[in-house]
Amino acid sequence: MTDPYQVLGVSPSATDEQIKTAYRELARKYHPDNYANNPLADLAQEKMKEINEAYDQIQRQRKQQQSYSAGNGYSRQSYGGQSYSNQGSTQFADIRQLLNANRISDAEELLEGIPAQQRDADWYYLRGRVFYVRGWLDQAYSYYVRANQMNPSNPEYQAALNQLMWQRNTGRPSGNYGGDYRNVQTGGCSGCDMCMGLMCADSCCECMGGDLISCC
Amino acid sequence: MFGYIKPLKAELKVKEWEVYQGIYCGLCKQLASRYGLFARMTLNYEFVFLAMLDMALREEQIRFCQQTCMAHPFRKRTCCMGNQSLELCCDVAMLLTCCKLEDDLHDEGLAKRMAVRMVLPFARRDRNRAAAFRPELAEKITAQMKRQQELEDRHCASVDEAAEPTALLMEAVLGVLSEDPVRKRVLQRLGYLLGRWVYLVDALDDWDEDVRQGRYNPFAEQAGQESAECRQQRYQDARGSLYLTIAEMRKTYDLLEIRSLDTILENVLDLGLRHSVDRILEKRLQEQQV
Repeated sequence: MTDPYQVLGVSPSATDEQIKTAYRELARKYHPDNYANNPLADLAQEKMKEINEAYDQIQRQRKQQQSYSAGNGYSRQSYGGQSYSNQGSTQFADIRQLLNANRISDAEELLEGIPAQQRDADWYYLRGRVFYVRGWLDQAYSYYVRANQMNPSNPEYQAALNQLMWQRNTGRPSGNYGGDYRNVQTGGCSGCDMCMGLMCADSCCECMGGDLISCC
Repeated sequence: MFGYIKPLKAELKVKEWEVYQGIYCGLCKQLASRYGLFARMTLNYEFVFLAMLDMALREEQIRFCQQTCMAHPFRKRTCCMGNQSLELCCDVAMLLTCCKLEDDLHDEGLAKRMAVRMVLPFARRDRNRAAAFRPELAEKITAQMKRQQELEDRHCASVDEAAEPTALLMEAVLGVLSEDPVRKRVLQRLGYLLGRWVYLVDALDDWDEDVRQGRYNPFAEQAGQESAECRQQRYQDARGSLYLTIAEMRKTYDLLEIRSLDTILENVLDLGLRHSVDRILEKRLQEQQV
């Protein structure tokens, strides 16, 4: 069994906060959303599993040593992947299966065999996926764009397009990715930030004669 | 010297820069000892990246020593001592350089062609020696270069397709860095993306020059005849293409779980590559304004 501390990249004497941060960093990096449709998605999934198990193991060990008082839970959100129910036409269910099994050439052959009149948004999306796996990223992008144009309300197509658009604009993996090289951004707002922000806004508003939040 | 795959020096720690320099020096020395003086001139940053990647994967200790060199005669410099990674990079360098020169024989103007003819015998000799060390790789490289030539001859207008031979070439090169099947998969994808990126960034850099000289360029081919405003949009599209490739490379690299030399490699992937693209585009925009 590999050392869980090594998996998370922390020393055994790290504080609970450091462990949590390290876990979050890694979970963001190997998040299944980052590797959606990727030919190496299975490896990312394994890595994610390894990270979760390591975190769980450390949690158990530390609880046993009773070095941590209950209160701030170690509750870890399960970073599962978002699986979209197949909202596309079911005529391509077999092609999706081939893609999920990494049988790209077969999927491609079947897709190309579909006559032009039957090529709907789902066809364009799946064709885009084939290009993505092959590494033809420009084609993948333009086919995803087309799929979204034909069916703007499909979340699966949106997610695929958004991921590529983000990467085209920033040169970075998807939005969840942890911070710049060496400038780890401690992301977002916490509950405290939100509350303070509202209180300040309310105070300022009252100074001006209004009242943002009437109950305080 | 030459190359697009290099770190952003300003963001490296001094000790990391010295390690990088040391590997560069080590590669230079290895080229000279394994192949001779001519080989030294083929050194570029891409091979340093390859050497670092290989060394990181082997996780063996990297040894350095202090040595003088021809280019820097006054002070001893840290130099990486010879190892299998450097040897592999030298062989790859010789295989690729010869192909590149033979390519130039087709495309370049008269003056350059004459210069190429003078060095070609040496390059060929070195290529044959490298091929003896790595016969399978040599075969794959030759096949892909031939395919590249065919694509260009028929004026392929798909950027993805045009980049593919170089992509497949690098896929083959990186594929030999590990025998572990899982790592091999990751390395092959990384190689594909790397080759694609190198081809595209080179095309971006040479875009205007190629158009002026009437040479093939995938971006120009795709763009066709266009006005200046459209050209701006095309530059942005090209940038998007390259950025997307970089992001995909980073994701693939993560799956290698590299711990040695990781900060330098990550500097290259996160900062260095984008910097290369941005620099080229800045130059393009300045030229446009002139």
